[in-house]
Order: sequence, then C-alpha cells, then structure tokens
Amino acid sequence: MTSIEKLTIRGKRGDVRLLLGACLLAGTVFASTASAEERKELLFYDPDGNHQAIVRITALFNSYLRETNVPLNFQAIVSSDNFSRRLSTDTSAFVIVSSPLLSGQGGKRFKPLLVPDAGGEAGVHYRKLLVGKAGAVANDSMATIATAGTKEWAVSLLATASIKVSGTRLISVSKDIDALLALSFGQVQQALVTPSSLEVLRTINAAAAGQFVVLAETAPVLRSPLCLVSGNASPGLIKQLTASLKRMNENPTGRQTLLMLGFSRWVPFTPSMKRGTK
Amino acid sequence: MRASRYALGWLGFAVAAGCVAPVAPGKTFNLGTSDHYQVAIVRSSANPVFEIPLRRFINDVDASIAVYTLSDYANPMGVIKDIEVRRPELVFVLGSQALVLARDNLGTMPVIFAMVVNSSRFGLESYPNISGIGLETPPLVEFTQFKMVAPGMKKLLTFYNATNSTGTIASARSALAQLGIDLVAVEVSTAEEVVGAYATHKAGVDSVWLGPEPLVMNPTTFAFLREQTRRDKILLVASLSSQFTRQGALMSVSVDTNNVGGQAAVMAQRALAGEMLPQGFGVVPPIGGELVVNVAVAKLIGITIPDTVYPFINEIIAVDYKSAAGTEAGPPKLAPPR
Repeated sequence: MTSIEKLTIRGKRGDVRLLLGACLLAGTVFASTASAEERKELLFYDPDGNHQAIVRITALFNSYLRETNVPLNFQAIVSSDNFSRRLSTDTSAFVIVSSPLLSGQGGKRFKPLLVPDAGGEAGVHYRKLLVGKAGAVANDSMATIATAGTKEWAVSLLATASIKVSGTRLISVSKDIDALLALSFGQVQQALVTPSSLEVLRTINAAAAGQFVVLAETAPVLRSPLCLVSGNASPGLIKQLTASLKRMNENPTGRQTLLMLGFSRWVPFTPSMKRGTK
Repeated sequence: MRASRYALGWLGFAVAAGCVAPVAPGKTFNLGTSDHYQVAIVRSSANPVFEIPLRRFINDVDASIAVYTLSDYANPMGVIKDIEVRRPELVFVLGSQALVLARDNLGTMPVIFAMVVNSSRFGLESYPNISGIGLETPPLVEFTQFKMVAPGMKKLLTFYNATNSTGTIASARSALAQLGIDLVAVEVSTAEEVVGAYATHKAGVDSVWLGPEPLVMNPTTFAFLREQTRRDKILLVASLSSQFTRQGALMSVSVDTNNVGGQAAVMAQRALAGEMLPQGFGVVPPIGGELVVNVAVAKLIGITIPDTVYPFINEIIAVDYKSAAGTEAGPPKLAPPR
C-alpha cells in the first residue's frame, strides 16, 4: 500500500476552477501589483466571455487604461465566488458584469453606465443557437452539448429556450468553433454557439456548416454592461472612465481589445435595453 | 512520432510557462461532490503537459479521485497493487508509460487514456476495456482554423517523407479540398533537401505548412522556413505546438489540453453512469484545437486578420521572436513526456 495523503481542498470542485483561474491570471496580477494598492479596480466577470484569451484581454485593457490615463486596474474574474469576494472590498469601483446579475440580489449595487455594441443587427444584445445535425431534436436527454463559457451559464441560457438539461451532458470547450467542429465530427450531438461563429464557419467550410440545423434559439441577453459599484468611485473617475471607453474604438490598443471581446464600441446604457432580456 | 515527441516537449514548456499550479506529486485527492464512484488517475510523470487535462478532469468528474504519479514510485507495480485494493470503477491514464502499465496489468478494468503520442503503436484494439483520446488534431480542424484567420489561403506547400507521412498527406489533401485549398506536397528524403525543394516549388504558393513530419520538424528546418517565408511574404503555419508561433510562425493549431480534460471527463461520466461501456468510445480525436496567432508576423508579411475572427483565437502573440530576449537560438528543448 502506498502512503496516501488526502489533500483538503476547500469547496472541492469550485475551488479547483478557482485555483486554475487564479493561476492563469497570476501573470497579469503580478504585472499590476505595483499600483494595485493605490488603484481602484474595474472587475470583469462574464461567464460567456472570451475566456481562452482572457490573459491577452487583461493586458490589452490595462494598456488602454494607461494610455488614456484612467487610474484603474482591469481585473478579470473567472468564478462567482471570487467575484463576490472582490466586490466586498472598496477597491472595486466598476464592474463589467453579465447582465442577468443586474437583477439578482447583489445587482442593486450596480448602476449600468455603458453597454458594448457588436454593431449590425446584433447590437447590444446577443443570442445563442442550439445547433444539431439533421434529425436532431432539442430536449434530447441523451445528447452531449458542447459550449464555450461555463456550464452553469449554458444551463441558464438553454432554460430561456425551454431546453431542459436533465440527463444531458455538457462539455465546456475553449471556443465556439471547437464546439461546431466537434459537432461536425460527431464528437458531440449538439452545440450551443453564437450566430456569428456559425457564419464564420459557413464562409470557410460551407459543407460542414450545411449539415447543421438550428434546434432552438435562446432569449436575447443584454451584453455585459459597464456598471458603477455604488459609492466606490468619485464623479470625476466615472466621467473619466466613461469618456475613455466611448472613444475606445478610436485607439489601436482599444480597438484590439474590443475585437478580442467581440465588440465594436461602447454605447450609453438606457433602461429600454433591458426589455426583451431574460 | 519523433516529431510529435519533440513538439510535446514544446507543449510542456508552454504549460510550465503558463503557471498552472501543479498537482503535488505522489499525493491523492478526494475531490468531487460524490463518493458514489471511485476513479483512479495515473500519470506517467509530473510533467507540466499533464496538468491542464488532469485539473480539468478532476473538476468535471463527480467522483472520489485518487491521483498517482508513476515517476514517484521506484516500482510502478506499487500503483497497480494500490489500485487493485481500491477497485475504482474507472482508471484515467495520462501519458504512454501510464497507458502501458494499465494495459498490461489492469485486466478488464475500464481505462480511458489521454496525452499519448501515436496511440496506434500500442495495439489497443486487442484491449476492449481501453478507450481514449488521441493527441493528433484532425487536419480538417487545423485547416479550418488556418483558413478562418487567412481566408485568402489557396495554395499550400508542404514537405514530407513517404515512409513517415503518406497517410497524413492523404488526409490533409482531402481536408484541404473541402476548404478549396490546393496542396503541393513535395517528397524529401533528408531535411537538407527542403532548402532546394522550397526554392523549386515556392512559386505560386501562398502558404507553407510545417506538418507532423519528423524529417522536417526540427529547429534548423523550421528556422530556414521561417526566414524564407518572411522574405517571400508567404504564410508559415504549423501543427503540433504553439511554440512554433512563439518562435515566428504566423499561426499554429495544436491539441487543446483543456478540451481534452473535459472530453475525457464526459467519457468517464457516461461510462460511470452506465450509459456506455468504455470500449464503445474507441480512440477518438481531440475536440477542437488551440489556435495561436502571431499578429506581429501577420503585420510583417502584410496580411489582415478579419475582425470577426478575433473572438475565436485561443491566444494572440503580439511580439515577434526577434524581440524576445534569448530566443534567437531556436525553440527550447525539453524532455518529452513518456
């Protein structure tokens, strides 16, 4: 018998994710520690965000903030536990946060200021499509669904399309194109993806995209808005940040950051944008 | 196979540099919210290349999990004896040594493997209890992503040796035909022949593919192709490792180890739930592929990456290799995982 030592990892599964996320972000955290003490933070928490490129996005966003003299650190967060912990400190002045969280208990602290716009018909909302091959049906309890983003987020999105996931296996992949290629190869039975990823695949490989049928469409979701965390930023800082982000697409670093996030610009938030969003 | 092991060494470097907290060697875990199932994980060594799939598997599988690292044991049979006592419902192995140990000693116990170079050499068809995920990304997955970044790709040049890569070239040709790309595959018998073959065949091609060919995938040939393609404004794309992109290729697609861990976890969950016997899976290709693009090289050779593609790139390298100190001598050489 080998010597067996049990490692007690608090919170079990969630914390493994937390540890991994923390490590992935460590480089960025170290890079900004010199000023972390003094600077307020702009937290980014979007379970449907471009996680595979989060280190690059963090570096770019911070470069842009420096170039435009906004005294904030952009800090990406990958778990809800960590997000809650960071929010409890008074250094969190702003958040870019998944819009469904605005209506939750903690959402009362957030005042939306700006919303990302992807341009074209997509605008400030997005949907996801549940895609399968011919003959596939939605609500197939034996299906494995590939999705980018977290599984929990996928479950809540699918619920808006009345898709139950009881018995269904969800596999979280790095990006939408992976999910579509996995579907094409028969490695999964369905994929939950953005319409834009399907379009990209259609332009490169029409034959592969032609095999797919859309089984369901989620309700429109408002893209993750920039919000003020009540009481944590001065009027001057609010004005400085919003002015900077509105001009983000005019600066090469800013434009690159927006591209990585899949947006083209920031626009002012209006309450009517919430309508039609679940 | 040599090429794959060489590139895996690079992959290990990338993971190490990516600061993934390693699982402490020789330890066992008790993770997951369920003690209903027992799963053992055996990895060949503490090589960083195994960390991401290991972590992802632990995170996604709802079971009590024990982790063994073979390199910690003077006699690997100690691992087998412990597994025989625990009698887990399933064993997940990472790396060739761990796979061979499981194949030869675990009888009919269900085994899922990952991160094994060229698994076909292990005669697994005679072991119905063993299934797993291959390490080789299908050509269509690679080229779809290359074409996504460079939609103008029409004619691709590659070099191969008939003894090693005839099958690979046939698969690539078929995948490329689906994407409307012509393949110019030039047979070479030595690495030195690539120099002359490049000069002879470069006219009219817009891209060069450094495929999984042992003869070509070496630092000298890579450096030659990198410099020549830059001079000729030709795209250099590579398989197997993102280190080629870090070292000056335009882009690469290699196995996405995060996806592999999740994929193995889904296979394990289905086997544990009795939905499918492990042998029902067979050996499947990895899901997707890690697309890494060097935008500094794109600028240098004058290609514009479509805006719509950026959200689908796993990693963007923004500096050319010549700007990174200490990398002029070529890619780092690490011992490949075993």
